[in-house]
Amino acid sequence: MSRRLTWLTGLSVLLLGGCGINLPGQYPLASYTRAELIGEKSDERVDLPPAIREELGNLLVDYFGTPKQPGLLSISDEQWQNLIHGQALYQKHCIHCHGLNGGGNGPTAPFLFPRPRDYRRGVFKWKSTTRTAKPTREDLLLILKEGAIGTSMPPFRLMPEKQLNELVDYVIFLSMRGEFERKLLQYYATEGPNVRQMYAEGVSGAEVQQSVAQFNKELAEMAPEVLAEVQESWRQAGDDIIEPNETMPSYNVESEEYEASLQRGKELYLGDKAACYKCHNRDGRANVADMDPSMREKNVDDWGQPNYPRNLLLGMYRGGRRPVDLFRRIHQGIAGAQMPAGGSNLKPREIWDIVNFVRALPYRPSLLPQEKPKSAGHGHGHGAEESHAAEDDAKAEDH
Amino acid sequence: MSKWAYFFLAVPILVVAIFGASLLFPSLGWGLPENVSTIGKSIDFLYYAILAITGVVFVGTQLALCWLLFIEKGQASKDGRGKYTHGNHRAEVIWTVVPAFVLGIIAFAQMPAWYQARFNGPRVDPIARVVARQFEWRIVYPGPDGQYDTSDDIHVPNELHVPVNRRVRIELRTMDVLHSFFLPHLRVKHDAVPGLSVPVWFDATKTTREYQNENAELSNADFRAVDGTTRLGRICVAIDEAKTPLTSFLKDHLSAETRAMLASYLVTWNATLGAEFEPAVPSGLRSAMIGELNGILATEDLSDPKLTEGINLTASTTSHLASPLGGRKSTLLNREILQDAFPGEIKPLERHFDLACAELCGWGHYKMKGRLIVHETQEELDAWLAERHAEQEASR
Ligand SMILES: [Cu+2]
Repeated sequence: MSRRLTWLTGLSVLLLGGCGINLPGQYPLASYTRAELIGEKSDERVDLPPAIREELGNLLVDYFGTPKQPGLLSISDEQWQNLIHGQALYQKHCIHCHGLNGGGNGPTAPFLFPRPRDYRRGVFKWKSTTRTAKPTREDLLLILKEGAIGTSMPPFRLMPEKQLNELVDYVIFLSMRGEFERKLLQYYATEGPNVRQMYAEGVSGAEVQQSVAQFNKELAEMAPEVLAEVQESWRQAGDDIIEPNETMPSYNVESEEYEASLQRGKELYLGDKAACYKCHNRDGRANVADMDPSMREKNVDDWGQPNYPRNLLLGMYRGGRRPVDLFRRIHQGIAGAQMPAGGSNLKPREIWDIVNFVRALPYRPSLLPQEKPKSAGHGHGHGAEESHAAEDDAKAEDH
Repeated sequence: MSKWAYFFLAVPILVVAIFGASLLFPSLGWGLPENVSTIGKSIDFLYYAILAITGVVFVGTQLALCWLLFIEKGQASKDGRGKYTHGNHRAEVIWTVVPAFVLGIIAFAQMPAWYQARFNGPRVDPIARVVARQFEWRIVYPGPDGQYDTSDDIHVPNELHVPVNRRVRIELRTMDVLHSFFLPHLRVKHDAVPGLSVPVWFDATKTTREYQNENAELSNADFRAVDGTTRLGRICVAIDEAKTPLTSFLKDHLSAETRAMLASYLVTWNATLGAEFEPAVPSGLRSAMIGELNGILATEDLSDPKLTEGINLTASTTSHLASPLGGRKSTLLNREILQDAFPGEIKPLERHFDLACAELCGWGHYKMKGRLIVHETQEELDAWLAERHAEQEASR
């Protein structure tokens, strides 16, 4: 009897104690394949020789601290405080999906589709800036507040502004750290000594050691420059905001001008200049189920995750539903994904026509030729509601 | 065996003790939250009535169980043999008829409340559509054209805004699994079922600001930062130094004892390099300070321009200054001014009417929290909606 009691007590301690994540002493070193790191067609992991691994680990601690003591040398006391607070908040709200070092690889991540963002590439999709630029703080704040609909990123609207800002600080910090680490690893993958091969070729131990020491020296020398480069790219983000230089024509939705704008948008959508139909389909329902399997394999984003064109009839825009968000998406495309930038061959006015058209589409699917009649059974309502049902079929994020 | 009898006896005793504590010490927060709806009273009455009936029966059966299993058994099995019984017809009839009768009474007694809550709603257009999703509430307002499913719909995650004192209707839906729409302060709970669009009626009899005003007093937790450090020290020092009109006003209103404690804290502060290594605030000073600050917030008027001089008031405080709640003296407004005077040192008031999911709908279920914002007038609500709409229509 008493043994059962111990067992019960043990179980309840386990249940009550919960599954808190213990912070390790250091951020783990990222492990990439050659394909992920330098785009070679090779799934071989980039293995560092222990001496270089140690040097890189030390550099990362020197420049970015540890999970318990994150920090950058160049920041003020106040910014440092913000990072500490941001880390605490991140650990509470974000770490289970986005992972300890922001790799989008937390314990929940494997169950999600789409996967959480991996900050370590420094590539962000939902932003107001040019495709290659970093997002601004406001962009990150907006995503935090509104969430990304259609994904598992929830809105944190209820969090006080100060805490949101601290989280943004920490996310930018993690992204900087990840990019710094990635750039040094890239340098190793292209220029570093391949110790295993050197031994195989009969190079003497002393020489191998010397080349490793030489490489470590190079790493330490280039580190400040790499950090400066990464920091500069974040600092510059504010200069690269895409502002439509022609304002959105304001139409009365019942006017003929509005209809004309929709028609122009439709022609662009189906025409070869904008060629939206090539991915989003002629009916706007880029549906994964309808997709050619070969297309499906090609639709992979920079992070190696499946990445499909959006079904435009859902009326769900992950990066925000404001006209200006859609304008920027069409103008710059989506970084890291297949959506191309249309800004170079479309005039602002044409982009606004497409924006109008795309915004009207979920509520008026008949704007596009709907070849397949929608199967019966989705009883009531039309438009957006029907689309929600359609979305359920395509969505695989339930967990 | 009597040892075990006491162990099992502890269950009913513990349950009664917990219930008693929840009634005697409301500050524990174990009881029901404040009721701010018209139907809440009848719901609460039913809740307590059923709790009383089941509570008495529960305690009674537990006691009987203990007695029969452990105490009585010791007597009966002295000869080492069990006692057999083939039941008692009369007892069975009693324990069938009595509960059936009680259930019948409850069934009839609850009908008016159920009718009020679920059927007697005004046949009005839904004020909003509430769409549950793992793990958030997506709230949609029809927008300026008054129609749903048009491109000017207003989307707000996790925040439901309604006017005060009006029975409103919402349309409840879910995009994935079963969720349960739960407004604890309004005693509203309804399942969101996939494929259904459920009408839910409710009214709020108190605005969010009134509610916050009544609950604006400071507590220990308001002075704790995310990393667990205390923020009270700097405030103590600032008040003791009394360099601004507000701090000297606060210092004047503190009792002599507290001022003496403040002075001795300043000595420790200066001895330990001040801001760099904030020395812990002694618990005596801490509770005295919080208590006296609360007294000042409740009775004084800090919104006097002479006192707010030199303080960077936030936009929301300024707008509240323009339309104060219940005259000029408002605990909430005083608190907001104090917060602005010590930016970052006092946590903003986060007391709201909760919107929660009452269905265990997945791992992230507990994150499915939103809030209900009750506006003072329809105009205030409309203004808020217009603001949100403009935000959403941004084309620059
Ligand atoms: Cu739920």
